[in-house]
Amino acid sequence: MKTPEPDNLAPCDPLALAHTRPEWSAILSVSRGQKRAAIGLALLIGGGLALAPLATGRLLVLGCTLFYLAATLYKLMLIRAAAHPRAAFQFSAAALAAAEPRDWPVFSILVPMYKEPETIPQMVAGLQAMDYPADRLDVQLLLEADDTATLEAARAESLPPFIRITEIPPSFPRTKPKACNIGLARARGRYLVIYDAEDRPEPDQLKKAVLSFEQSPANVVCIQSCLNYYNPRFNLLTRWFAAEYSAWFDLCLPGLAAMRTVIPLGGTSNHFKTQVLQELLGWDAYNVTEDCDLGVRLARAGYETRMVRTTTWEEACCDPHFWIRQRTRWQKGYIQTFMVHTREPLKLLRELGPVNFLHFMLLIGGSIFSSLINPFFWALALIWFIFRPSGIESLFPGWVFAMSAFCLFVGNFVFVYINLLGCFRRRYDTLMWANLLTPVYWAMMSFSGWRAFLQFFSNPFHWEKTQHGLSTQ
Amino acid sequence: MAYLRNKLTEWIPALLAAVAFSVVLTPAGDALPVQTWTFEGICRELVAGTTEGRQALVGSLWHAPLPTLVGLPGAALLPRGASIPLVARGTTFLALFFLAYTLLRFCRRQFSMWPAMLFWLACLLLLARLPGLTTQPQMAVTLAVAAATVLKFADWFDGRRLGDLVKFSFALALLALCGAHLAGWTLLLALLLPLVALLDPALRPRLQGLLILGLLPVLYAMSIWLLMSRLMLADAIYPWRALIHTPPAWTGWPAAGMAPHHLGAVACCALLGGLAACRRDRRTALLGVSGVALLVWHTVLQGYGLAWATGPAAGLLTLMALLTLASALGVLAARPHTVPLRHRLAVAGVGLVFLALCIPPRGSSPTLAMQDRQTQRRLLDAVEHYVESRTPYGRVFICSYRGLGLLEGDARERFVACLDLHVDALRERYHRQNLFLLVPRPEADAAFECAVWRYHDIYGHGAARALFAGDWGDWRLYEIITAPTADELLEWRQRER
Repeated sequence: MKTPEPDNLAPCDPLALAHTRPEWSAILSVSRGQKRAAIGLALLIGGGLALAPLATGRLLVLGCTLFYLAATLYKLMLIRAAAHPRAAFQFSAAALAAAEPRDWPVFSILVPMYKEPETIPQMVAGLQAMDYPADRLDVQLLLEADDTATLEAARAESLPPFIRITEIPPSFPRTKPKACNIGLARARGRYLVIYDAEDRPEPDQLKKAVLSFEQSPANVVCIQSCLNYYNPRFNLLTRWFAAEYSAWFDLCLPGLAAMRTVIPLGGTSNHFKTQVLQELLGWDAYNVTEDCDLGVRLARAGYETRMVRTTTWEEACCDPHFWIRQRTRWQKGYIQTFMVHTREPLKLLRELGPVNFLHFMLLIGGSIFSSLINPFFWALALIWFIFRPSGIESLFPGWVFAMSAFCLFVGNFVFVYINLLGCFRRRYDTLMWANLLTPVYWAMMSFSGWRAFLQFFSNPFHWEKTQHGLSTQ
Repeated sequence: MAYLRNKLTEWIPALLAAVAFSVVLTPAGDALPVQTWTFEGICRELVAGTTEGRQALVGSLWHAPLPTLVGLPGAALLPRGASIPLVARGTTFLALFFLAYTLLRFCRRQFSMWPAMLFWLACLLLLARLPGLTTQPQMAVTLAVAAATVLKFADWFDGRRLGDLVKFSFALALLALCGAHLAGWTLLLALLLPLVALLDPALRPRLQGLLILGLLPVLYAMSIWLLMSRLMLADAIYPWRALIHTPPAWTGWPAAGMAPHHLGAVACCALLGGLAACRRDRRTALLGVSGVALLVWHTVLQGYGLAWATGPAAGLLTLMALLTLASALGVLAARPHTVPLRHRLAVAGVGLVFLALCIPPRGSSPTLAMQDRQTQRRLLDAVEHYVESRTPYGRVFICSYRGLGLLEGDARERFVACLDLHVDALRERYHRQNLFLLVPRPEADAAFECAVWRYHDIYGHGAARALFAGDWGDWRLYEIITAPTADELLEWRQRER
């Protein structure tokens, strides 16, 4: 195995992906072909609306309705697949004990931090509590060189020998993936994982990840753990957020894993084979959801991602203002990822195969598209219920109306119910009532979606940092 | 591939069973229950996008939304005006396929391959004896959904798998949308869920989550029904109005009306359920309890004089007995050495009781009014002839869901189906026309219609401004009398001169 030298501090290029494979990077937001396609589509729709408004309106409604129907059925399929035994690795305490004694491989842990000195003691304590041989751990705190407060706090803390500080020289873009790329170049472990500063991984998570890798075929290069929140009951927002995460990480991603398809990786707690990650040139420093992008790149390169049932506990954003900023970044990253990978759609189709291509379109493209069009359809539904104007009815002829009604009454309920299922599996029974108000949460998501869409054009690489520690203040 | 092969071994026999039911057991003639023609009419009207169709979808407990929705694809694809109700046939076929599939899956879970097929065939033979199963789509759909509901409930109760609970909760919601025929039983099943959770120490801490997960779909389905009623009929509780304004009277416990095969079936359920409860065989116990609950509901329907509506309950009751027996035998087959001899003898005894008592004689269900296309045409011809003899401007409102069945495939503009009758509104809207109301005898489902609860005894005595005009079998015609306007009076006087 090709492993970097232990004290390799040679300069590395954190932007290697953008420099050597720009077609894989979000450094270029929209390609020329995409611009042409977007202008052509806008002209087509505009012309249609001007010349034959009713027919064009009906076509648009039909398209959106078919999309909603597909999204609903797709979600149901994912949930059904999540019940399959191969959806996620599961190790009992007895299974872990049976694996001992053994020589555990070196595991690298990257902890990117920026302006969060207060989290260092808790983070160090969490890492020390990991149930993994200390001499097999290689932890790097990735700290920006100009973030003196965090640097000083880290130096003041008596760090155990397996934790070292890696300074990130200030340069553009100031993103987490850029820091992680530097950490990746200096990683010593056979496996590598990223944790955020406020993360609290379950102590045996690294061992479970190693066992999962060992029980997987060679092309499985990433094991994603479940993420959830340690402050779900703080307020209504954290309740919704926890329900969403429970559904996403406990049901949807295992469903995707069961189908052996593209998995948009979660922000942290994804365990990689270091060498493969280095060969893939690490993360895209220009993509603000570098994890999601990496998940797609892994699938395009023929690799697979699996899930393991172990949880990393994070802090749910409890302030609507910061929540919207965080969600805006995520959705902007999804747009970036979608645009990067659809620059050459036929190549994407060839590399992923038709089934995974559809998964990609529905997962990445679908989530952006739905958050953008939802407000229009909610408004249409509200206007129809209250004022019953005949114009709206004429947009929904016959079967389109039937499908739309199905999506409105059944589809929306299914999405709420999936969150309930996630809560139930997590034993968050007392959070379940909050999910009855989930449509408000969806409205916030749509607001963030539109904000992300506009920001994608105005400020694509801007990283809206999430403020942590609000719920403990 | 193995998954597909496994599915095919369930789909193909179920499909063959549905075909056999449709081909062999469906009566050749077109004399069918009135409700079947009504079903055909509702689906056709709904696909045509008429107001009456939309009102009919949500406006009645006896023509409930789910069977109609199942019939919609057929109504869109199959041609109109055939001598047989094609939509009803198609819907029945789909429902029977699903029912056969559900039962086959249950049997395969209980037994190994060949015993499972044998038991499944026994279920089908039992179903074949149920009158109306192949001719009434509402009954077929209700039975299929009810069987899926109770079997999924039993699966969850036995294995506590989350997937089974989800399937049960959605099936329960669908069952609630099947209307009044099994409404009380649906409610009892819904109440069983919290009861089960409370009685089990392992489930008790999770009562809140179980209630939300298990009962939210049914509550949501009912609230959508209310909302749709509000939107289509300007009255959220329109389908329940009949029960409020003209509630059926209690006629006493129907001891005489209890058929021996019903008593035999409930005895099977009670005995096997009790034995299973003693041995902690939860699946059989729950099926047994559900069977007994079904008898309670069946009795309530009969006690309220709704014997005509007991078809699904009666059919399901016998099926429940057989399923309970299958579950008990399945446990015996799986753990033959751990079950004491007396228990095995008891199950065998109940099996014999089942064979001796529970099989219903063919055609034992309450008979429903039958109708064929010719009879419908004759009625419409006679009424039209009468109206034309009175006035060239006559318009006849058929004040019943049955009107949709009568008018299905009939293009006469003189007749209009009217589900939400407001005589004054009709007079205003059809000013200067001679209006007639065609009212069916208020029996069976027709006794719960708007014309009855809004205009009491309209069939017997008419209503204000509605005078008796004629009588054709179960139908009566009333003419709406309107005072002439000043212009009409002048015109009449001039003509008189």
